[in-house]
Amino acid sequence: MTISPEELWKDARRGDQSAWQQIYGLFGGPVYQFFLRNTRNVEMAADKTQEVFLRIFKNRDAFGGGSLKSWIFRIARNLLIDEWRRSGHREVLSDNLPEVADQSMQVEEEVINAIEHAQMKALIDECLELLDEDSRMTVCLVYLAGLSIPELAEVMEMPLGTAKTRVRQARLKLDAMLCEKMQIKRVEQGL
Amino acid sequence: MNCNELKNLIGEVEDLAVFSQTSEAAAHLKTCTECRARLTFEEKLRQGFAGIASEAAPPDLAAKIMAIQAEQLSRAENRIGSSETGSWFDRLLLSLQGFPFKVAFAAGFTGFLAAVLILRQPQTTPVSQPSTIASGQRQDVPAPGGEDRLLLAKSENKSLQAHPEESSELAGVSPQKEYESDSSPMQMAMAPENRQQDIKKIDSKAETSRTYDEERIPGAITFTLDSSDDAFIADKAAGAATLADQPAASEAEMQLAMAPERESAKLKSVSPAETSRFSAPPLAVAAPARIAASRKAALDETDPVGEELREILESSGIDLPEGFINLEELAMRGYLPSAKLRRLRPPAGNGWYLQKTGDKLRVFLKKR
Repeated sequence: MTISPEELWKDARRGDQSAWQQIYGLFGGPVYQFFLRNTRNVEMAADKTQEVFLRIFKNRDAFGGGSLKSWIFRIARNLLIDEWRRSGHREVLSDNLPEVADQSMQVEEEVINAIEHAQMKALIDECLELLDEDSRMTVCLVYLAGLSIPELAEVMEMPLGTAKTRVRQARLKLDAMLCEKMQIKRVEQGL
Repeated sequence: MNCNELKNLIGEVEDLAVFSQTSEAAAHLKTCTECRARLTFEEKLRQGFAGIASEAAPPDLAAKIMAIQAEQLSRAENRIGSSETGSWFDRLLLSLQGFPFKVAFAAGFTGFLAAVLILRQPQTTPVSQPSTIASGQRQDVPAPGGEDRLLLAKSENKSLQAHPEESSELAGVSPQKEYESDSSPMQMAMAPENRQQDIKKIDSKAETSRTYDEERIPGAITFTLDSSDDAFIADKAAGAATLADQPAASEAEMQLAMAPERESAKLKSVSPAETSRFSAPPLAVAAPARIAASRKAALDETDPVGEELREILESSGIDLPEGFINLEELAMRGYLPSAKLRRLRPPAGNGWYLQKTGDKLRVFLKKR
């Protein structure tokens, strides 16, 4: 029988160290990777991850139910936006997203099958770096943090439809980049 | 199920393996290679992201985060403990809540008022040794503006420097002596020699007053420090006033400074007013007379170069408007030979001014 994160949280806030450890085991890696992929700075990612866990425990009484994952990633997202603003970053998450053309799958099945897991990870990493901040954050929240679309809408404080549009637009950009890179790999490997 | 529907579903479903097993999806995937490729791509992508997410964070981060819980809990316990043991202190703090701030505010405000009152009060201790005079330093006068400087330069008075022997004499005044003769005025500004007698007449207590062979600066303030009650007495006759109503050098006084010696002598015969405190100098009466006199003197005075220029203008028959004369323009128009142009050129910052009084022309130098 698996214990839900919310139940673990109840124990952790009472001082159960094991529960706290499990919560870190569940969310520590994704939160760290979320910061790392968005900032490309190992130290900052570690600091921000620590800050997220410090905040959730300091404000443990503020969590009034719902999804623990959404709560944690909302804090993480707000910290990231604060950091971007502090470092003179442009205003993130604009409402008007440019339309991205939906293209058909440009890569054959055998080419995709030939891509190994490690190669795919490297390709994703390369493409994430090339994505714009809005799309990267959205993709990371959905595919790294594992948020569902309703959870994303909650974290990003936006309507469900807008969240869906954001994910679709971000995916179209990411897919186009990945396909391009896979085609290059195909030529390189002589597939 | 068509390609579009399948594509949308692929993007939304959480478990792709389960989805691909559904009859509708499986039927479509059997026939559509593009959708199969899309499904494979989606699976690879999700696996790739899962692999990234599972990458471990730095080991020291885990230790730091594990410590957060213990630290926060111990802090909370300490707070609870201190609130129980220190209940009497808390009650005291509660009873004084707001009180210290009120007291501090009242004390601060009172202190501020006291400071303001002290600063506003005149100094009651006698000035034993005025530093500038005792040390023989020159009393600095605010530098006059450009025009004033020129006018001052034109005047025929002596330099602003005090006599060194007088300075040394002044420097030799002991503080004790100064204190004893506390009713004697200290002449702080540059009183001219011919003003000394006036000063002596005005203040009978001015037996120890020093004379300064300095230029009479129009508008300069001559202060008399009566250290008995420590008030500045204005020397009204010298065109000075108290600090409270110190006037700037007026135009009339400037004209006086400009006036030639004989005119100055005439103007100096104007009887000096009595020294009084807090009263402005009676310029209203004296000024028009001075201005008129200086204007008359200026009219009497003729500049040979100006006269020459006037003659040229009159002889050439050119009808120039009243105002500054542009010599270059005159030369260009052929009214002025270049040799004369060099000679007639006014000094820097000045210009030849043409004044018309009826049919008469007058050309004189005027500062631009």
